[in-house]
Amino acid sequence: MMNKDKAPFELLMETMARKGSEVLERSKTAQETLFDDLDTDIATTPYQVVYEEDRVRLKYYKPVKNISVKSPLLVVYALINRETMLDLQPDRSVIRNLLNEGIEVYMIDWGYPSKKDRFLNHDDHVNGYMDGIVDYIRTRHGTSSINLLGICMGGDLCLMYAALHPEKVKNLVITVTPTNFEVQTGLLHVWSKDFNVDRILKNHGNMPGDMLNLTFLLVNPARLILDKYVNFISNCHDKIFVENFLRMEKWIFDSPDVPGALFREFITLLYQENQLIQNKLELGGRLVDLNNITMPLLNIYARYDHLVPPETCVDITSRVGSKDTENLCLDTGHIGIYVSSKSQKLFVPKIAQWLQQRDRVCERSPARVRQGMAV
Amino acid sequence: MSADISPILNQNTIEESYIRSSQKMSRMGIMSKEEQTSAIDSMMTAWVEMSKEVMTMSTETWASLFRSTDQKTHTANAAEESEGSKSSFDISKFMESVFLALAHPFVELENVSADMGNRTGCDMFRSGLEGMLRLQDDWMHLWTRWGKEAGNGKTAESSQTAFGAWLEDTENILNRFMKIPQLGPTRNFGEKLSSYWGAYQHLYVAWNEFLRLNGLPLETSFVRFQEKLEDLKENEQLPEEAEDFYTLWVNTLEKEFMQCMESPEYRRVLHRTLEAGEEFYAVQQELGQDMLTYLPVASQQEVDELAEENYQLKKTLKMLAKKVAALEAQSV
Repeated sequence: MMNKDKAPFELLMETMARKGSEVLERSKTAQETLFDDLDTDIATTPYQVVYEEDRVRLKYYKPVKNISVKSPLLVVYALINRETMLDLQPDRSVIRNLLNEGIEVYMIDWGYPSKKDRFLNHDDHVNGYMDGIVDYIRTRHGTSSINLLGICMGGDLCLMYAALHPEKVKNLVITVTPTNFEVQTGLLHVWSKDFNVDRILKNHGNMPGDMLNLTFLLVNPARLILDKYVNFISNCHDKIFVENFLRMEKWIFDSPDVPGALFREFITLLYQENQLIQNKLELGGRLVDLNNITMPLLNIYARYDHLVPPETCVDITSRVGSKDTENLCLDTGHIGIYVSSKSQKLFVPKIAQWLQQRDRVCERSPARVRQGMAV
Repeated sequence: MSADISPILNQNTIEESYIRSSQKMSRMGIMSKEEQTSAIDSMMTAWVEMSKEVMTMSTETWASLFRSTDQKTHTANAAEESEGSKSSFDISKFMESVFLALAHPFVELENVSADMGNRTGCDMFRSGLEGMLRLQDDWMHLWTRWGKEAGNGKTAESSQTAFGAWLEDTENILNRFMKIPQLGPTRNFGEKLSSYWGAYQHLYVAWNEFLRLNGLPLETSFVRFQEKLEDLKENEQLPEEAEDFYTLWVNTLEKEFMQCMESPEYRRVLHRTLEAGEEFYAVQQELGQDMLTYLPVASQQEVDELAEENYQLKKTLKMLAKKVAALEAQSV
């Protein structure tokens, strides 16, 4: 225990002085690490682009093991940030884990919208691009329906698609997907209530990715602007840490703009008017009725999610027409659910198990169903 | 050069005057509202006095400079001097009168204000200056009482009032000047420049307020951190490592930020900053587009119209293609 007679700040200074030599030693190692060849590549799992429409591409990941789920899985990422987050590094890759579970994976790459894409709305993405892609996969596999996995805002797109084209969706998995926007928790929800989206879109056409990034940083400046980099400096001597940190940094600040019309609808119709969960949303003149979602639904969300709090996710299972629904809350955050080492053992295995139970391959290659997994 | 530089000697007087006004301002933090109003008046007087002195000094310096230059020119060209040159335009006298004219509003501020009655330009100037003074006072107050009042939100409250006053004054005073009708062939350009300047003012004020609001959690976090350290010390639980001190502080900072950012005040300021930023961006873009009209390139509006037409055509085409494919499938 430290000297009781000294003032706290005096003690703090003292401990900092004692640490001086250690810091100096670490900085030498850090210098060596930073000048070294660093492997910071992301999205390294091999894939083929099998379908393209405008800026949108469909990636196909060849299975590495016997197929355990009959229908292919289409991963629909959000239009905010890039889908590369699901394949950030080999040992923390949702895509690799899905392949290792024997699931055939397709993933939509929404690309980088330019100013000419400012008029594209939800209808164009859901009934246009998504429907084209689903039809392509159905034809390719000779199947009438496929499995969908929605990531964050991509989950909303999946819900809309499943409500409008239920016959084409076998099983639906949504993850950290905001569906009830009426809640007052979460800064994004609070701030967006009186957010003048038209003003921004009039100027920029699309919602600038940099502006979104800045907003996400503002949600927790102490951690995301300060502590994160303090942590980086403290661990600069550790090459593995530096490489992982830089991969994440590369992904975070790779932010495409969001098509203007879609972003306007997302803010006004969902965040401000909460139309989706009230069955009031219309796309291309058709009502998005959640009662049409009769296929099995798995809803996964994160307890410590500061962007999409659990309160905004949990209600959807009680609002859809399906009787086979499940809510699963993991003890992690919005990004941690996909990339944390803890989630690697829970997230994908749970999805695989859930899909295998409902869409098992029986004939050619037996399903590897895991029983009694504790989550 | 034989320029009369005696006015510079008055610099000491100006400094004293400034120090006097600064002392008044720093005392204001503990004054009542009436005392503050009276102190603002005193400061106004001090500022006006100072401005008068500065302008008089500057005018006299420049005037004497011009007189001296003029004398030299006259001496050098004495031989060539003729009756014609005497009747020519006297630049030094012209410049002197310009400087005197510029100094006039400051020197005669009180009289002009009294003469012109309700809400004259001088009144507006005075009001704007008052707003600036209140703001300056608030900053001084903040710095002198750093950390002492942050805990109970007093600093935030007073800052908000001062910033509000400044913003109000900026809008009331500067925007009036921005709205002065422009004349002549460059009217359009003049109006655009005025709106550009107005938008810049808005952004400047909003951005400063936003930064100040973001600084408050930092301030309060240090206060709370200090309190926590005292508690830990009393219980003999002070951490040994610097990292633990840092973790303690950063956790406190995070909580303070959360509390601040959930407040309606933060929302208001955030949205106003965003609005001001977008307003400035729009005006800037408009000016840029105006410049482009002189070049053989399409304007943004024309490109947007083309893109929209292209989007509609593409959508119709895709829809028709789907229908044709469905019909073909049926017929097969």
